[in-house]
Amino acid sequence: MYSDSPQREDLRSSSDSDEELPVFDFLQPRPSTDVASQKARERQQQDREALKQEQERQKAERRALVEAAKALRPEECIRHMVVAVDPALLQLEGGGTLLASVQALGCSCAIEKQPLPRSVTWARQAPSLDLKRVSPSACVTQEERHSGPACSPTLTSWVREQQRRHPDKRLSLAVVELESYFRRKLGIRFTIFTDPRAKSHQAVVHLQLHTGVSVRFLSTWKEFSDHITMTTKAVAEAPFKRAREQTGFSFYLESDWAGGQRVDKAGKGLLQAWKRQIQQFNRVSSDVAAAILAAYPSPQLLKKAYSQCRTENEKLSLLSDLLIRRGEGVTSTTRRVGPELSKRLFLLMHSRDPEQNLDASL
Amino acid sequence: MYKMLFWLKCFIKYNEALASLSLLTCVLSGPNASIHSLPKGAPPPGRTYNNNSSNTLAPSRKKKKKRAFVPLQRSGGYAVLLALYRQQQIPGSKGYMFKMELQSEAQPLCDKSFSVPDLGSKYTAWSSVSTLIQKNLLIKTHNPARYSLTDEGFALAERLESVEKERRNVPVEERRGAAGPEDDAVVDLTASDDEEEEERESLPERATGETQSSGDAGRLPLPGKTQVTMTTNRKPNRDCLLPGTYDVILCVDFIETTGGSHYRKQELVRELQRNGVGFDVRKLNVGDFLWVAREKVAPVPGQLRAPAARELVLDYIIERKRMDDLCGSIIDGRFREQKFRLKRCGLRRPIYLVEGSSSSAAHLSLPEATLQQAIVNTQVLDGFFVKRVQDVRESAAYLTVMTRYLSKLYQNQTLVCRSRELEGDVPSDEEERGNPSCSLISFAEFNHGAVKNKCQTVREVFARQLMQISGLSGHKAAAILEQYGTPHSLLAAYEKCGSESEKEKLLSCIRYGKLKRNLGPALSRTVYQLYCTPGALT
Repeated sequence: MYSDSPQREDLRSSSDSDEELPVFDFLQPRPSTDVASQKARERQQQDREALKQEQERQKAERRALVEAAKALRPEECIRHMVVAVDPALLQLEGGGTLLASVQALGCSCAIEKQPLPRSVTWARQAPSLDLKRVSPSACVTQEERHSGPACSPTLTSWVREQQRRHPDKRLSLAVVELESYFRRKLGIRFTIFTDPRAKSHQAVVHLQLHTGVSVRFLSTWKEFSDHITMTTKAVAEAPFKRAREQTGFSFYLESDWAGGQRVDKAGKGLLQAWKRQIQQFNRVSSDVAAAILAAYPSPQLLKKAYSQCRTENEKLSLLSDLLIRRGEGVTSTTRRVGPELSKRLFLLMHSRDPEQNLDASL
Repeated sequence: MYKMLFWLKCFIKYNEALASLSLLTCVLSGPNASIHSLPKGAPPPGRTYNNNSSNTLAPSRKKKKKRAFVPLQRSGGYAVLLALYRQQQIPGSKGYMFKMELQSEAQPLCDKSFSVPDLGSKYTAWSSVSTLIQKNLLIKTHNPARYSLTDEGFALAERLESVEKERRNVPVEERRGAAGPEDDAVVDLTASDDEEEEERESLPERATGETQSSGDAGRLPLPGKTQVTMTTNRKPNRDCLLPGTYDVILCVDFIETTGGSHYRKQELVRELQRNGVGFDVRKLNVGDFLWVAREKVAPVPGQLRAPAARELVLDYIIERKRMDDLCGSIIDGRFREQKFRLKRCGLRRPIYLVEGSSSSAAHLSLPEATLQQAIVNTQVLDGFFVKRVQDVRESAAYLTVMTRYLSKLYQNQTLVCRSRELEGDVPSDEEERGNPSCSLISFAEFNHGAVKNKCQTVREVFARQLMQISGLSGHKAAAILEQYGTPHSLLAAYEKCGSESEKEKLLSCIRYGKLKRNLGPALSRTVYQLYCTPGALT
């Protein structure tokens, strides 16, 4: 017979290593169990390692997601943009200005032949993923191509063809120095009698209705560069701003309310937040909210007042007779909060149905 | 002899009906749970807190508690209840209707128009809906609004339907004669309501009315439509406009023609007139310009007002901004809000018409570069088509050319009326760019859907309230609302907590956004302080 503890301890200590044999093997040779437990230990080890690897992978993935999200933030995003410019565009008069402006933005600039002649495209470089995702925008300059209303079907069909070739991109056109072009081609006299822009109206509207592509007329190459830099900024910030708007709510928080009320650790500022909350109902002015606030300076106090009501009727009209002060002295007027708003507030605080409508009458 | 028998049968049947009506005080439990079914995840409803007969909002109104409320036959309330009831009889029906849908289903059952008020009145048959809600026969939920029967409403509608069936079984002459005995049991729903002006005589079925300024004539049902065709899906004979039967008309928001810089606004209208563009000034709830395809209707001899013309609105909608307007709206925040509303209005090709030159952009509160960036952002980010013009004359020129081209584009197109409330929003097909879209919304539905201060739901107001705390963004509010859909729910959760510390941490582990971040202890604490501080806040 042997006492339990020493063997047990030995067993425990030998669980991690395979070299040490169990102490009591001279008592009961159990070769099969040894091998079995050895295998079990191996499997356990493998499982643990696999789990650890999985956790590492998940952590890395999450890190990548966080970094990708960070790269989309307004401060960061422009650094990851790559602006690709067609060499033919650079050879034109405004090429130098364009390059300088783009570089001043802080993004990378690539000079490579573009699928569309004289165009600019944008791509985003995600930092850790090393992926170049092309933004669906391209801006083409057309200087010589554009020559008046006779050209409208040609312009539209040309654009259509480009759209077909590059279905993943959103096109927009920029026309630079149109007036000087007309002046050169048609002489100064022409421009006195006819407005070249008016002629282009037809072509542009035709283009809009058939392709959805917009045309921007720019008088100078500097304007063109500015347009490209602004577009770069917009493309860079687009994903972040779009994600921000997707809250799933059907309302838009107007600027009066956007930003929220600052509240410190002690809770100072909450009274103002509560007041603003009351104003989130339709048609509630600051004065009305102030009246309700004065009577019930916290949601709990309002809740307490409701619970002290004896009938539902009382609760519904709890706030109706509160007086609203407006104006000072002689010109001051008094109104009541009224039963309608009182009912709405009651419904808000007591309803268990999120989809319950507060305005029954419309 | 046989006539006598008929009279007797009539009398017996009507007394039976009368007897069943008096059972109204015993409310049947609602058979269909689907009436009140909520989206999954929402807590089950308690009592719906609508006005029941024991409440008075207007103290002057006399309550007739003992009298059962039964709408007059062929009145607005009657038609609405029956329409909803009949929908429920169809297996698999959704159990509610949207406003336009309900109006369209109820119209054949009603002698008064739902969309066009009578001469000298501003009320339509729809006004009775608020009464039905107050009497707890109907409930209105969600945004966009859905209308469904309460248990009481269902029971009443059931009785109305059986009376209606009896009525139809009896030949016409006898019906009129036997109308005597039960008159005092049937109370005109509208008579007890101070605001209603509905008369008891039946009115001509297809009311003629002003369509120009209200533009509400988009969805009158086709004459001769029977109740048999009522389904919850697309109707077999959809409203459509054949080529050549309609004109493309430019609509100008009346605010573009009045107020503010009076001279310049008039100039736009003058230019349009000079260019010979057919346009119509009306109140648009969103946007400054759009186009409708309006049915050509010939005036009816003997009637002053032309019959109602159906109107479908084309997919293009224009928001016009002068440089100073743009500046002002960016500063006061309207800029983004207006674009938000434009994106949701149901028209798939929004256009931003920016009017101004470099000189007009100078000397404003914001630098020109900021304004230009805002315009570029509108194009790239919001996906609007941006059209830049120099001045108001060029704006008018653009509108003129657009109108002419659109008329030409739609010359040979058959237009089909699409309903947003029934079919949802279909995304604009990229392929379709060249081809004009022919599945269009009615003007009535469009303008109604774009109303600014729409009815609010509990959920919407609660979300807005949460966002009043700095740092509580839309995404965070959405996450909180997933757990606690109403203020009641949140307050109840706080009550259930065992300690103050527990209350403080209640929301800290809620995950929000794409990255599933934690709301955090700080924000959780602030919300706790707001909702749990027993005394006054500071």
